[in-house]
Amino acid sequence: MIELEKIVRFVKRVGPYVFKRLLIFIPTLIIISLLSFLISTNAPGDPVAKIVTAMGQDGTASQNSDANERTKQLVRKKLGLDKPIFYFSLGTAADCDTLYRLPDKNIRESAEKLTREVGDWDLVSEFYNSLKTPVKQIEISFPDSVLNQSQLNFKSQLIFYLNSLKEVASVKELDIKTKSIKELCDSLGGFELVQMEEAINTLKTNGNSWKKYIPSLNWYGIDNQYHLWLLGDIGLDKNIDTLSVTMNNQVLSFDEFNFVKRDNLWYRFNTNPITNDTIFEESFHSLSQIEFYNNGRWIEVEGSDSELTAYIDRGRKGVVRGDFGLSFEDGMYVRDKIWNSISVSFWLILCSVILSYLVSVPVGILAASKKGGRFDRWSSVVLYSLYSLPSFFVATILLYTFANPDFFAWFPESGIYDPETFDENWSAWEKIKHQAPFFVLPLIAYTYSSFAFLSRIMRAGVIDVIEKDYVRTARAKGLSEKRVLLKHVLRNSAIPIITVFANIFPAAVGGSVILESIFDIPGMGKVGYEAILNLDYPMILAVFTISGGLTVFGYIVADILYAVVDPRISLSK
Amino acid sequence: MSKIENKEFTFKIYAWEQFKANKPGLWSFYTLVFLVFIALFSPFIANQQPLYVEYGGKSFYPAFQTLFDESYSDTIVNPETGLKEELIFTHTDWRRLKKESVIWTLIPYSPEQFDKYNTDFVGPNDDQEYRSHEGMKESPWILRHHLGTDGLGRDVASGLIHGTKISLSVGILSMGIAAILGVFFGAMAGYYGDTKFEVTRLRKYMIFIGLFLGFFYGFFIRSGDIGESFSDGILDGFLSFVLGLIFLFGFTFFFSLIGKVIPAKGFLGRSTPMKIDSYVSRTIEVLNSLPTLLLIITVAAIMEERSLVMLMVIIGATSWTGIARFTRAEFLKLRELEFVQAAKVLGYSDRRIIFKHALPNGLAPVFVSVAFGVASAILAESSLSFLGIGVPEDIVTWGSLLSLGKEEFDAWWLVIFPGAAIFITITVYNLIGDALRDALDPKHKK
Repeated sequence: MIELEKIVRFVKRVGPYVFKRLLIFIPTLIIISLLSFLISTNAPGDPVAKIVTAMGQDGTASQNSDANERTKQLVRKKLGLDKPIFYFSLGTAADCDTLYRLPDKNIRESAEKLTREVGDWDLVSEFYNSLKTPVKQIEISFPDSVLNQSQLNFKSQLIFYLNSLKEVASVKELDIKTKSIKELCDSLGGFELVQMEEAINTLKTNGNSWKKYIPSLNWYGIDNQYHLWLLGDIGLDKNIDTLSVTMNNQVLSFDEFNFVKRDNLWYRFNTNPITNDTIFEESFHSLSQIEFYNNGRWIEVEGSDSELTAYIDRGRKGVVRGDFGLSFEDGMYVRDKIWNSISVSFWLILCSVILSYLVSVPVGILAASKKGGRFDRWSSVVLYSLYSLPSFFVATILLYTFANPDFFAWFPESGIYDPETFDENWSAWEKIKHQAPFFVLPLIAYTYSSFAFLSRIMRAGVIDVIEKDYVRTARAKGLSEKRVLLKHVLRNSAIPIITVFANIFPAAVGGSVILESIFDIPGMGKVGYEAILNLDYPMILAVFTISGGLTVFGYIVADILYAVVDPRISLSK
Repeated sequence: MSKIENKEFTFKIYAWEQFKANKPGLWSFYTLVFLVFIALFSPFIANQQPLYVEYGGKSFYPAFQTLFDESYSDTIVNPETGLKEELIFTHTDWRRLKKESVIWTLIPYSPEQFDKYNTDFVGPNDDQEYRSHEGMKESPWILRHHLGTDGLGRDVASGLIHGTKISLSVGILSMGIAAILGVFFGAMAGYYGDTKFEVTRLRKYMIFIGLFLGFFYGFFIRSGDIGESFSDGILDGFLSFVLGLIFLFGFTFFFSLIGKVIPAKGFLGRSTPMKIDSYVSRTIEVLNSLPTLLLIITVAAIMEERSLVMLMVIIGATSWTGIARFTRAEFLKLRELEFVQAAKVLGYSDRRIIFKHALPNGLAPVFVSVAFGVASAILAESSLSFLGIGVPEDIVTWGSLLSLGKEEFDAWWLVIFPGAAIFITITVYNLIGDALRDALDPKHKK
């Protein structure tokens, strides 16, 4: 009964405050996600262009530009980047509100700049429209067969210039380019691009530069990237594609999914891109039974074996339902990737925290109990030096000394397991035995600075308590020094060090970028760092949101711990 | 005791006395002065241009002559061949010439200079050669690379000397920015709190409109211009940015004034508090909960042009929260004290009370956290250079030297010396921070 009463009192003391903090927690998280959304979408470089290049379909020749554009558009749609970024956008009255539909990020940016300068999207769009015909006109008027070598050169130059007009970002640049286009036209034989020149002239003379000084708010509705990321397709039409199915040699494929019929069973298979081996994933008695969730899509197949329709649900569940989307890098679930990396970081940090507590508590007590003594002086010098040592310096030195064939090759250099000998099916003990050497050096590098920090806090805490009256009373009662320290001092001096515990975790989750890069540990920091370098928007968002959430959560836990260890603290004012 | 009886005795003198009593702090302070000296005179400590040369009957002062004019050149008549020779100082290899006399700088190499005879990680104790007018020779003591070279033949010692300038300026400038932001927002939040700044609804809305328009005209439509001026030059970019800030504050004040002047009645006339404390605290909470280094990396990735100043601004803009929190706490205390209340009763304006009365008394914790902040800013910069982000590639910094050492396992000098330099600087700032805390806090009186 007394226990229950205690708990009720505790909840009354702490509850309202925690509830208030939790209420603020949600908008804070939303603001964090918004900020990271803004940062990642404004980063230079276009993930779409990067992916298309990686696909090896990036046609460099101008003839291929149409196909290239189509591929880009497809990739954009697949990644969900063809939607407006947010519910609304701030712009100027001169701007075009549907600019996000353009597939190429460079063209988008230069179009925006040009529009701002000219001051009227209508004129600029007229100009872009006039760019569609000239290339075709030239192809018709000057087919390759009637031209000599120098004329062919002129023609290809001209086409190059005309194509580059799309990326013009200022009127000045436009002037220079149209001038050289005119010269090229003349040397081809007095060709006139009437419509284009007219559009350019009106653009230069009829611009309204005042229009860009009027702010305007464009409303896009809930079909936008942020809504899809946060809430998924809540409130939107279910995004279901119907796919045509092609069948040859008993092999059925649609989009990127393949099925094959063998011995009256249908198998779903993937092809390993590196070894070209076929990997069978699931088997079905008939095709109409096929229903699976793959790559973030829900697939259903209907009909008989000869006449089939596949429905692919491209819908998103959204972060609120635990779906962080797919990584741009490899199409894997962000959720799985993050989970793997968090667990790596988590174990490492947990071990390092336990280690540093095991060392720093005794050191702190010992140093404080004989304040000013030899141990105190020396330990504080050592601790101070450790505290100021940059972790990447220590990590490099550790690698130099203990993972260097010239000195001591005691520990492996990088990674968390040896890919050649590691076996997924090992028992936990075998795994730990195999992986332990990989974690020794990182653990030292992780631990030493927090150990120094904690020892200093512990020492300060003990010194603070040791001068209190009740400690003097305990000594006066004739208790042994050991008993005084362990029974009377320790509990009260532990308050600051316990609360630090909650703060170490989140800071370590996001803050170990450098150590994880040096030791090549696939933890949160490294994954986040690589996501930033690879423009992997969903991963960046997830890393920021999750570590932000953990940090805020850590603050709340710290506050609760405060209230738990010190009954005098009242959190609700 | 005699000092306290002295009439001239002020808090400043007291604090300095306390600071001096702290031996590690005092020594750190001297070390810092020494580092500043190295940073300021780095062109005369480590330079491929000698301080003084006598060659062909003429006297030159190359280290001084190239200081402001890199393309400085001169002509001489070669005494042996009798031909006219043109010396373009930046291209001249002084070591190779037959000089009558020369005074080298302490380290006769520039940080970005490739010594082609000592490439591929030459250690401090390895054989080192140079090309004199008589051909290849073993380097004499003055021409040796005392701390070794990197793979391209760049002198490590010279990199360290010039890196001092970069590390110190990153630390000081970024913390300067952080201190301005932190003190401003912290003072506002602490002094006004959530209830003390009461305005009419009309004025509140006007302030919001002013903020919005200031942002729109100051930054939104000028975003392209600002980016362009940053690529033109650091100063241009900075001025352009400041112009944006002027727009922001100008519009806010102007609309706030309009809201004050226009008489409002009814709904708009009712006075409501501006929850300044809540706005600032929430902003701090959000910024604190983002992983700082990842945030800096992301923002550094957004900047297409890598530059030191941008790095300082980024570090400053992400690390003002600590200072703001301390200042806020200090102002929460100060605003209840008698002298501030007295100033209020006397009818002084809020601005005068904040800046003239409260701020000088609330600066102590700011100094302390700035000292610690400089240490962590230097750490952040060297971490970023270590990862190869932020600082332009051709600039040699302590972090970038250390990262070269990571690649080459035999080149221990590339790890030890830059690491020691970073370590010493960070320790110095931490110790100064500690000493300041003790000196400025009467509770810690010795």
